[in-house]
Amino acid sequence: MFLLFLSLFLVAIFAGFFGALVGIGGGIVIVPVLTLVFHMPIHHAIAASIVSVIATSIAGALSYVDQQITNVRLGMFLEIATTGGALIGAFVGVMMQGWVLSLIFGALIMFMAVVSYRSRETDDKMIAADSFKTGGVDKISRKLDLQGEYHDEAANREVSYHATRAIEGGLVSSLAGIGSGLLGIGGGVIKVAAMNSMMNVPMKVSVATSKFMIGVTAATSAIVYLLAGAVNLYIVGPVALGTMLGATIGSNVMNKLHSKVIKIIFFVIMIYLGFSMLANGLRSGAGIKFPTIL
Amino acid sequence: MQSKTEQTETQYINRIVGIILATGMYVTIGLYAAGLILALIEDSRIPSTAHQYFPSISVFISSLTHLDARTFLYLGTLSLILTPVSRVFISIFAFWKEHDFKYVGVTSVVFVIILISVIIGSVFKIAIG
Repeated sequence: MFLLFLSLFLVAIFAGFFGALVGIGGGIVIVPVLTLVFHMPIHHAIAASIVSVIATSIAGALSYVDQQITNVRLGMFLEIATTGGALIGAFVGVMMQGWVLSLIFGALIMFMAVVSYRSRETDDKMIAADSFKTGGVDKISRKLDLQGEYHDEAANREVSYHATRAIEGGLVSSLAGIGSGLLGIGGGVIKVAAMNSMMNVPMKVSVATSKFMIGVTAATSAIVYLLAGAVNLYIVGPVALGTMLGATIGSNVMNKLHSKVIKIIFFVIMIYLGFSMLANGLRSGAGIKFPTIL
Repeated sequence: MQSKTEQTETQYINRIVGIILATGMYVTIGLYAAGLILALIEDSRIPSTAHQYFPSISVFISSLTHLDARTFLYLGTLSLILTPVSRVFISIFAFWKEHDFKYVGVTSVVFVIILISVIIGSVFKIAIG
């Protein structure tokens, strides 16, 4: 049991570190690794992942840098959408067959990898052009005061911004919630995309605010999984501790990197894990075999 | 642009949220670490029913005093889940104190959704084959 605890712990440190860098809860690494390497039922993997996603989120949100960058009001507003989605997602996830979840998981993370890769260039350029505060502000964003300012270490200057398209951002964020409940991922990738690409919020604010929201979103899903009987406590323990440690290290490195580097690393790992999960789902669901490394 | 008072309000809320998260994290780390160490001392195998642990309060208290690993791991998981939940709950009052009633409403809606998840999880049980 010591070796199992240790290997789960080490894998979780890596997942937490990586997750903190790109603003996801690390679930996108944990679920595939627990199912593909540790051969656990996907429901157990999802439940363990969603609990550790909370751990990542707490550890990340504690870093001093993150607290300065996070927009608490924007986070609170979008949490309505993400927790609502999480509730629906967890309910469906508990009911659904494992191999179907595996297929959905694989397809979704490959899709998100591509979406994120395409917006690769914009952030550094937009900071330079000051275009985060010039977009048209909608009624809800103005009413709820969805704006702010942060110090960008890489660009070495204050960046102020005004959020826009609050309704659209909320709708997309609810998908992130569904993803959290259904697949045990933080859904951070979708939330970051909703804020960064749709609501015109800078990448680093989107990542920090997303991490802030992930805890509450994941807690909503985790409550359903725990009470429904899918949380294996002996797996959750080492995985949660490891992700916390990894996330703490990752958050401290995050603001020092340019978002371009973060996105490229993220793209490569996502495509690979997505392919492996698709192969896994097809194997156990339809008996089709693909060559994979894991 | 934000005025000076708004800046202080935001900092005030951020500080409260930070204290809640830090406390929750250290309690969780302590409980998980205790649970894992007890598990290593207790047995070399994971119980097959590890995921179906819903102790009643009386069983809970007696297993705590008997240093049952599962109970500590369960409590760790609970404190981890309750940390962001209590963050939401206390934020309601923090926004209230700042007379930001729009966000009292926004935060209350989030809290109600979390309460609904308790009902959903209690009613539907999972079947893992």
